[in-house]
Amino acid sequence: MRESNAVGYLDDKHEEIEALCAKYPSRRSALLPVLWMVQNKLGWVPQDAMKEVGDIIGVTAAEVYEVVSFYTMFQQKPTGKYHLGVCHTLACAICGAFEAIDYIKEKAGINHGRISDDGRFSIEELECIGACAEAPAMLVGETLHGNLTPASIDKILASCK
Amino acid sequence: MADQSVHPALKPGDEEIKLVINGKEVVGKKGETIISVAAREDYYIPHYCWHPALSVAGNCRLCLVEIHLPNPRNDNKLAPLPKPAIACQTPITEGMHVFTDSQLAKECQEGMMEFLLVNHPLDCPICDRGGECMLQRYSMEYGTPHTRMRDPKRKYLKPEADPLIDIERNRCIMCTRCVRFCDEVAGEHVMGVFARGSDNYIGTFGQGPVANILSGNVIDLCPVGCLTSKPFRFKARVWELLQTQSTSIWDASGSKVTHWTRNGRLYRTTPPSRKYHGVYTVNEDTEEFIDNITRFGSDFPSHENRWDESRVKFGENLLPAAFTEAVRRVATGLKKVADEHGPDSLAILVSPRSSMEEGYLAQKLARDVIGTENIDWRVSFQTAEAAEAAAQAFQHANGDLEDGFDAVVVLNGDYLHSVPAFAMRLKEHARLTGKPIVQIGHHHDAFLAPHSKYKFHCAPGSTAKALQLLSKGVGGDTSVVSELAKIFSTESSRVEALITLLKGVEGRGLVLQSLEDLNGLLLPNEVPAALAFVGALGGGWKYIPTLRDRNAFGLHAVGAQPKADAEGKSVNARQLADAIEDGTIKGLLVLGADALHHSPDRERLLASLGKLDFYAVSDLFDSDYTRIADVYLAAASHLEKDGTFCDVEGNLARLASTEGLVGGARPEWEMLTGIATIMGSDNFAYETVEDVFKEMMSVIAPDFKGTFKKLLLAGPRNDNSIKDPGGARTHTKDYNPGDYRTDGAHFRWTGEPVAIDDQTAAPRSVPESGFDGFLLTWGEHVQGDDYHLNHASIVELLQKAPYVELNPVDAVKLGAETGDRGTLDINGESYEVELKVCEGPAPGVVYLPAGLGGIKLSGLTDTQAVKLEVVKSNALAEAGAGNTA
Ligand code: SF4
Ligand code: SF4
Ligand code: FES
Repeated sequence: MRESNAVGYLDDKHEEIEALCAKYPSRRSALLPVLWMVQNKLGWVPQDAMKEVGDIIGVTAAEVYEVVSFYTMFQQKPTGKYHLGVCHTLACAICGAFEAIDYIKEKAGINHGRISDDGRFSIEELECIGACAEAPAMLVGETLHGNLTPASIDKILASCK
Repeated sequence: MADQSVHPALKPGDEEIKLVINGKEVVGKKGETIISVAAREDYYIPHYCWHPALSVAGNCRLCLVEIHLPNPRNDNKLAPLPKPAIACQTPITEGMHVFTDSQLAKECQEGMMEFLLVNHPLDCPICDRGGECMLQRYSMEYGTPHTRMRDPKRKYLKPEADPLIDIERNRCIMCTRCVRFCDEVAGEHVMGVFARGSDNYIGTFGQGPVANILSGNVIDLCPVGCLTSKPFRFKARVWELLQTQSTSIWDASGSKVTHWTRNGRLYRTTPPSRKYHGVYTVNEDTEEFIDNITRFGSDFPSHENRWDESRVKFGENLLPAAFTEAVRRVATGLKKVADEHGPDSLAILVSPRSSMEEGYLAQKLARDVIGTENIDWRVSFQTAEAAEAAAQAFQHANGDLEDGFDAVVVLNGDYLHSVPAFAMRLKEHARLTGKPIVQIGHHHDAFLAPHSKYKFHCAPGSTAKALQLLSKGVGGDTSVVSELAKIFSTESSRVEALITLLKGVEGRGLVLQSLEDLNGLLLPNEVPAALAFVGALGGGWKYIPTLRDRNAFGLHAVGAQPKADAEGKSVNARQLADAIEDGTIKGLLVLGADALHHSPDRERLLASLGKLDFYAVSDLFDSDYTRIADVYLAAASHLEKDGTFCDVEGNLARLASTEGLVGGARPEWEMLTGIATIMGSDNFAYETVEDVFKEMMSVIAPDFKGTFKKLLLAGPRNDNSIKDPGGARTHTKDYNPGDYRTDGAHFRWTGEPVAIDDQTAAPRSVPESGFDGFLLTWGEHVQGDDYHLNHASIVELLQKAPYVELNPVDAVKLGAETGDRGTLDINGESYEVELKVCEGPAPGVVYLPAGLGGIKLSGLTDTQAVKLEVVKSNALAEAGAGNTA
């Protein structure tokens, strides 16, 4: 139980979290969905948020970090406003995933690291996302885009305002 | 272990299971695992992740054994299991055949060793674990001498997580012993396994410290060189060091230790090295965990301010003198005062860290030679009445944890930070057996709280009343329930449940009382109340008072305090400053200047010393207390002398000299013998400290069967059976990890239950409600200001920054959470403290560990209202701004 009214990332979500916790036999079971709340809100899970989540759920920050670091889908570094996940497993790789990645980086202005200079995009190479039929494929947030071509990539990026 | 009866593992009522290990028929009880039965039967199964004090993880796979089981579908003929099984997790079953050294088992061990070494750097020459490393040992015994690895090895960055514990992740074998220790025994999940698969690594959140008074134990628990001691890093190789089995002078839990020395210098202190399967190891399979102060703080005797020559005042100067001359000066100085002003103008103060022999001789000197009752060791109490109450408590102490308990009532106190190892054992028993802990009072122990079945908070000062009502309640008087519910601010049903629980305890019950709470201010009410409560609970209930002072019990036992009937005719430690100021006391002998330093009114006491006609002190250091002495006697430190200590459970333990005396320092028993002899006594003819021990025991415990020598733990130095201490394991069974508590002698005095009258139990007056702030409670903290600890080489890493404990209810009101900072106003002085939100203090109460960060609480004579203001750090809101997905 969170015992304070300090400013936190999840201050507006307390009711939602309590409802979630009530679904499980123990509070700690709500850890994953609460972490998702953080990631959906911020785009990543900062260390302060891990502490906060730990306080709310009743586990230590170390325990939260064990979970966050176990699942690679939790971002431990800041992401851009739009997070692009490009698959580079076999089918996509054969169909030009690496060329697509280079093209996206150039167009989105991702020159070093994984975030574009304007902070709008971040990119990540994913293992198979189950869209081999539409290879090469990428996820923008949670939306799937298949059969990537330079033209379709331009269109997707342009639609990300 | 050698002389065990037929089925040592079984207690009446246990279900017996017969199985065969390596061809030998053995017996175990239902639920036991193969590895524990095998260990008992002297078959050593290699293991990393299994440890008797921790839960089973089953991740190192080194304990794989071959198992054959009777097949019921084939006439119960033996059939091998299709795969080998891990011995640490597989429960024994009837008719099971286990092979720990068959071809298959050997291949498994070899294969697992190869896996473990895949990423291991094998940098033994620069690894501090070298020489006591389970990986090295097992490589020799169970591994192959060559590697087939051609690929590069995995490498990690080295974090600077903990100031005391060095983490070298490349060497980690992911046994998770450290993680489980923090989680289960130390009580908080501060270490974790991060990332996944072959990228796994151990560490702390945000590279923070492990920050727990028991954290140092992960160093011994780690089977490899991943977690090593930072202060000991690169200082010496373990095989070059001399090991001496001794005991802690910090922890009144009676922790036994091994001091590792070379050329008179202490390099490290660990739990005792125990012979286990032919090899001396530290904590490999034993549960003797020690606190960090004992582990890292014991090297204070080599501080640069050590004065190892006795000194005598010539004119204004304190100049070095021969020991005999110094002793002669003390004897003549004391005699002169006694001749001029009478024997009762002399007083002797004994440090609570003195051995029993020293306490015994000091009181013999006072009573038989000088002829006064002015002797005391109870320096840390706030009032003379508190000291009297403490004596009463010790008189009636009769409990221990040896056989566990069925229920325990814990009264006010921070046990973890006063008697750490004892608190840990208590908590472990409750955690593993599910036996209830009941906490009653204005300040609960936050460490025990998660395992406490019932927690009843009351206002400061009403614990005695609550106990008195509870005593009536368990006696069948139901009218007390509503009043108790009011005191505890809870429902009647919970009080009824408590009374039912207490009445229902058929076996052993314990009542624990910390004499530390509020420096004993409330003890005059609470000790009789607790004793009466124990009496009301009846037969199986025992009483344990705890005090941070290491040898409090032993010194009480030898009578190093005024006799109970000498009240008014004697000066005790708390009356000393007054008595010196008004001229009643003219001459003072102090054994250990910590006795002065730990007095709540030490400034006043120190100032008053100038008024004495004669002041002699035996100590280790050049300090404020010794510089002004007429005679300074250079004392042998805890590393240089022998003696006997008694812990809160009544166990005796031997302090043992490591490498003999340093400079001109002499043990205090020699000083006292010399002083008494010169003063004209012929009753002090002791050749050795053992002579003192024998006489002492014949006086205080005539039935005592043990000997001074036997009290010394068997160790590498005094164990003749060891031919080659570094050699490979032999399958000889000589030490049972379960029976270590019985090494010491055990003796207790028991008193009669006390009846308590209404007036004694009446609640103390506390500020009326409506005041603006909190009620302050406090208690001594082992990581605070301490005369000896202040001289330890890494004192700044061991002392804790000031903090206060705050109830969650109040934290919500203040908008505070753990880690926030706040200011506390006490008597017009403002202190900066860290806030710790926990179940410890009652709502409306704050608990301040005394002595941290130089906060002095002397002068407080009652609980009082204090103001707490929270300073919020508001970094959170900014860090997350500007990120949406
Ligand atoms: S952990 Fe053991 S095997 Fe590994 S480098 Fe250190 S001493 Fe050698
Ligand atoms: S650090 Fe040591 S104790 Fe902890 S998991 Fe690694 S090898 Fe085991
Ligand atoms: S000891 Fe059995 S798996 Fe580690």
